[in-house]
Amino acid sequence: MANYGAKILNIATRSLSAQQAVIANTSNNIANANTPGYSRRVVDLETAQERQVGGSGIQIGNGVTVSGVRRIADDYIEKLLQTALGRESSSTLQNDFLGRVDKLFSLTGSTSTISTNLTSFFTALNDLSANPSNIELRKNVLETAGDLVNSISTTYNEIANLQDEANSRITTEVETINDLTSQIAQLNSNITTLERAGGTASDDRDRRSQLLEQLSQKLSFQTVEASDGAVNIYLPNGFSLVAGASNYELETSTSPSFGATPPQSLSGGVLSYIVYDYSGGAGTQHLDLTQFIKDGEGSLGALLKLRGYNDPSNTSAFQADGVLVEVASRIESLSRDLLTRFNTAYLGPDEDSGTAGFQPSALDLNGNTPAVYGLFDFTYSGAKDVNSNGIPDDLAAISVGNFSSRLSVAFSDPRRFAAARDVNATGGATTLVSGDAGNLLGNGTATLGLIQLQGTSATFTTGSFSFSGTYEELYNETVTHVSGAKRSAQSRSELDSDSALAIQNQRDEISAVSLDEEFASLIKYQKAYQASAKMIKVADDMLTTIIGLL
Amino acid sequence: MTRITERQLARNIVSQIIDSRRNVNKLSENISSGLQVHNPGDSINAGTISQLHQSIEKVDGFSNRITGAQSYLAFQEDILSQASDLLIRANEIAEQAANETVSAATRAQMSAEVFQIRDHLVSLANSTYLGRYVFGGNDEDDPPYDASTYTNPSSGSASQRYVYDTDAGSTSTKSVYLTDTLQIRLNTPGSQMFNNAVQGLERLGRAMAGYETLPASGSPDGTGAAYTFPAQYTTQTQAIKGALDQLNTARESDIMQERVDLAGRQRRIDTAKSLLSVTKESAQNSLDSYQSTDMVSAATDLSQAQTSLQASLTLSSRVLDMSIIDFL
Repeated sequence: MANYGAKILNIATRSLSAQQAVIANTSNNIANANTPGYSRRVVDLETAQERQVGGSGIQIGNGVTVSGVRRIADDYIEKLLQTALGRESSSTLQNDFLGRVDKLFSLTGSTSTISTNLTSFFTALNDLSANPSNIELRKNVLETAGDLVNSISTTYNEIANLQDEANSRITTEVETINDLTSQIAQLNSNITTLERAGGTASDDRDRRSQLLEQLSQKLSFQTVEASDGAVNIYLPNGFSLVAGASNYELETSTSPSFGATPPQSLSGGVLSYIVYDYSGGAGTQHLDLTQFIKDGEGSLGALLKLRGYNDPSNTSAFQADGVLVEVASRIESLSRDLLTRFNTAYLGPDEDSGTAGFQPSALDLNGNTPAVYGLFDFTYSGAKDVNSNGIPDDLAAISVGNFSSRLSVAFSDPRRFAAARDVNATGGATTLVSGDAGNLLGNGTATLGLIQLQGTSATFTTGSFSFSGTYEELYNETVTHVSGAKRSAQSRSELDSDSALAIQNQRDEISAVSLDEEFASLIKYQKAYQASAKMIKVADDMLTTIIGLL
Repeated sequence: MTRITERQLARNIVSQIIDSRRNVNKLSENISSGLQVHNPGDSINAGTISQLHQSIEKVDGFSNRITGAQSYLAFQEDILSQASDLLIRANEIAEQAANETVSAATRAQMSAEVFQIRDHLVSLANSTYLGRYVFGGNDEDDPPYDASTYTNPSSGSASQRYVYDTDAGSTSTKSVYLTDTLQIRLNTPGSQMFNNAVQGLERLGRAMAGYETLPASGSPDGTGAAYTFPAQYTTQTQAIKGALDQLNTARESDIMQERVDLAGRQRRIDTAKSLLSVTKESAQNSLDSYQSTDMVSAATDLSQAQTSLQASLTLSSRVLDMSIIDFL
């Protein structure tokens, strides 16, 4: 006779254990419902292996057993989420920076901008031309020139500071990245060890997923999961950040081994390169990773895009790319024009074409001619008229990073403004009539020449920027450029945020804990537990009955 | 969607509330500042808005200059009008003196008034406006007409002579841009307007006082002998008539021409002024359409946004409240 009594008890006992396991798992899920990065676990139940009872050929089944605990996570969605977070992080950061550039070109008309100061300056010149000897009007010209210079250098310096800020944040981000990759490598090692022994290292995998999300907000990368459970991380160019249990640390360098003297930044400092040193010992051998990271997303990608990349073989800050350099180039081209074309007009035509060299024909109230950089000057300790031709055309030969932050008005004494032009032709050559300061009082001819410049088109160039138009048209083009960049950053930021939100929801649809579900499941397994417990009671009654017969 | 979890609900609700609040914020700012475009990133028309601001600022600058120019030219017109009146009086005296019934002695007595008229005219020519000489070309610091002498007589009003300053700049003019394209000359050298008047009055006065002025035509060189009477009485009459002609030229050509030219310039300025105010008004209207907040629609939008925010908050509290736990 087959003994089914023991079987009943065994199955019931095993069932109790299995139902308890599921309830314990439910309890774990509920407890971790709000844990960031937690993926819900599901206990897999399967029927226990059958064994024949007593050779009779009857198979009843052996109850339920726990075959494993699964982590519900979709790797594909995880990768989508990483990409989306990377984009969101990048476009939000760019939008923020561009918002700060935006404010420098206010359109309200009530704040002082380069445009309002340009207009005031030319208005002051116009007023002076009607009454050139009036000291108050002369002071006004100098004051408005000073305001113009201030607004140019302030705007330029703000942009240069933004570039410096982006540059210094890069170092911090790289440190964070190294920290993250080191943790990921450690987790790789844990997971590989645990899973080799059988089972799933769910907690470690959850943690690693979370770290990967944080990493994706910094830079773009690709992942490949190896057969032993480790995740290998590569930059888009194939450079390995994490391989198994090892991570490769990035560095920032301002004097990389592949560039002798990298070009200056907009403020006259240096920009960093993101490198990997593979020399492993004495000396450095740098691999330049900057471009590849810049082309990707994430906050580091955004910072590099904003700051710009300058090839180490370049010589000028304005050869870098990026919106900050683009806007700074426009301002610099204005400064350079004021120093060259405007100053040349200020000197007036050559008043003595018979004598070699250039003699200015403009005169101030003291009867003196202006210096070479007569109205707009720049702070520089070396020689300014490098080619000694008396004309302000030497900027290319002067090695300073930029002129915008060094711009100044050449003098402060209103009598020194050269409003008069005194040219007297004798025969073929023009010679200056020396003399009577009185006749300079009413002469405003030189000023009229300056006023003409407001409506004259010229070519403004700096770095790769080139534009033909008037001063006002140059400013309006800059405003349009900033407007376009900001608006596209704004709309990308909104789109990317919405996109990241949607994918996070998609991920949660699969992996997040639903309290409704867990409680419903709790009831189900609780009932099964109660039923199994009842079975034990029944088996117990049956045994008691048999024993009672003895 | 097959599963909705608490995390999704919370995320969506928070995101919606943040959006609503951002909307309300932006509309409030637009209403309180009156502008819907503050920075270039706020509008696709940023470049145009910048250009319109520049136009309006320029027009404001021009308006000041125009007022100044109008006053300056009006002052000159006033002087010339007075000069013209003086010459009419001189004409009357000359016509009387030219009459051959008047004796040389009477003529000599009448010459005193002529010299007074000449002195008055010179002081008009030497007028200053805000401390600067108006009719000296660009030489604003020196009086245009300098005192000099005739050799004969050696003293008295007939020996007094005025010559136009020959310093550099005394025949130059200055112009000013009243708009981008309109350049107006602001002054005329006094020599063009007053030389004939001054010289004519001197010739007249001297002739009537009994002195010849050499050369017979053109600018006096300071010489000229006394007439002998009765022999040169007719010569005296001729000289008076010659001076009379010169005075007519002064009044009817020189001064009249300048007054006509002045009037023309003043008209151009008036036209420029009204064109500028039209330009400014239309630029301001364009700017308002791009940049100013339409208060009515903004207020309506704000009220809708606030309602929507209120609804979001109410709804989210209801949704978050519902849980299976309450029912178990």
